[in-house]
Amino acid sequence: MYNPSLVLKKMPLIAGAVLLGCIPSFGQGVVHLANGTTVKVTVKLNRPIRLGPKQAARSASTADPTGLPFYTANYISLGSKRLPFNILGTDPSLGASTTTIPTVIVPLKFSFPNPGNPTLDGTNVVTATENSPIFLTADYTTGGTDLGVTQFGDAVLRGEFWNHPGFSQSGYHVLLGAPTIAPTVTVTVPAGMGNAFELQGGGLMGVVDNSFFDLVLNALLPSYTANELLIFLTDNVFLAPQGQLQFCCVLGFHDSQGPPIASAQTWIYSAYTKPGTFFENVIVDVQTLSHEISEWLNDPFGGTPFFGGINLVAPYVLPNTGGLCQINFETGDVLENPPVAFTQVTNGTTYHLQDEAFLPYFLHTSPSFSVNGWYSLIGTFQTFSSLCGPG
Amino acid sequence: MQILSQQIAKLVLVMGLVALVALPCAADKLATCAPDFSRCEIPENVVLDLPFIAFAGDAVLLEPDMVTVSDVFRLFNNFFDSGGGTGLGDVAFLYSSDNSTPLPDPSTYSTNAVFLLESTSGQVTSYNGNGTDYLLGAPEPSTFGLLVAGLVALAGFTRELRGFH
Repeated sequence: MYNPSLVLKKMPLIAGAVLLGCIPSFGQGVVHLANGTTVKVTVKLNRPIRLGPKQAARSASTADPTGLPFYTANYISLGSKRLPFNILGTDPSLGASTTTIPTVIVPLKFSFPNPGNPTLDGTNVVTATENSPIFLTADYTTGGTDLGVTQFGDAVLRGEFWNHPGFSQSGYHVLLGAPTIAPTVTVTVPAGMGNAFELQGGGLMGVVDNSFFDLVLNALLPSYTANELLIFLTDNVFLAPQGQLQFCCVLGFHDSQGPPIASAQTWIYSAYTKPGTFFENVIVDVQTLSHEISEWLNDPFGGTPFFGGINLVAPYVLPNTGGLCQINFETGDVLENPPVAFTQVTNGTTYHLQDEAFLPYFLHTSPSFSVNGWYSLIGTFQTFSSLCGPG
Repeated sequence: MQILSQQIAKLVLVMGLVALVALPCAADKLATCAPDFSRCEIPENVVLDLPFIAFAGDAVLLEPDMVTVSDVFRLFNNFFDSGGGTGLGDVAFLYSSDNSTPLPDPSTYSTNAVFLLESTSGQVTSYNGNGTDYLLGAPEPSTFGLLVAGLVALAGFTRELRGFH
């Protein structure tokens, strides 16, 4: 447990320390442009922990007190310490239950300041996203164990708690509702805040400044409620400082408002990634969205870094990053260097999904209570995390 | 005679100044660190507040026989306790077998403990933990401050004495 009084006393220092301690994980990628230029980029599916936007003041008569359905439970870390976690759905130890979370896809259409004002419209990838394993069901059999025919996020949670005492293998689900498609939001990117780039294999990729993008999202939040998941969807549009390709790319993140978590809005930004964008298609189609969905389910309140919001674990090393460490429960970050993906077919199309680490990986639970005694969905991890050394 | 009196008076003043310099150091437990936290001096047997939050755990210093424990540098998890001595904290203590404070029992070593050889040159042992170079066994801040202040004062005093010749 953290010490709240110390949090208040040392907040300025902590803010700096969190940045040090939670450097976003990354992987190297390469982009080949139509003009023959090859650019090395850093592919990130996260960003540093920070306090989320404040919630709007609500009067007693305001009819929006309800947030996401989540449970809080303690799990034992490193064999001795009970750590609190906020996870979406009902407590798996209490047996069968189906939770369905309303979901809204908000397509973002960007008009770039390049000559001719090229556009990249998230509306064009809405159908592909709706038809993906994020929303449609597929069979998840891993290591010979059939987790059932379900959505990707549900498969992750079911695999995670498969052998946990009290878990109902036949009747536990956390599902995304059929998405409501919001009206497309058109964003005109000012000069210096983004660019579009022609790719060698055809098509465009867009890069937008992180801070400008945050302003866009924050302005949209009041149109939605806290009991639904917002997915801000772009068509091959990524984030980087000043929209510069050499600083690229954040492909997605999940975030939330600040406290209290009971009424905090949560959202995901995800770029639907077109084939041919990154060399060897290290990330493609809904791979980023799968990463973010799993992390949002397992740690929805990242915008409340302290005060019982974010799920903190024993500091662990991010594999293949040269020793970078992280301290929050992020199921995908440990499997993105390089990205570990597998495929599922829904509606006749093959989609790419990322392997996700399970809770026992972070708790050092042995044996793992997850499916097959494993520490990740498709078994990339057969043991728990490497702890970060002192310092 | 007058010169001697002046010298004694100056000596008293200088010593008073040295005492003033040394006092805040003795009362302050804040570790001496570089502004960018790339380096921190860690004296033995002093409870230190770090000017940042660090990953908690133990760095165990071994004698050349690789078995005997010489010192244990402990970063406490006073901010966030994730079990097994891990987590986050800003309090540090360097236990040394050379001093009266007993070394912590090995059963209390953190789950993420690291083991390294103590410097054999009699100098500080450098331990790099997540980008910060901890100089283990550095002189205590008060002693160090006193030494520096004393040397500065002595140099100035000597220069003054030369002027009287």
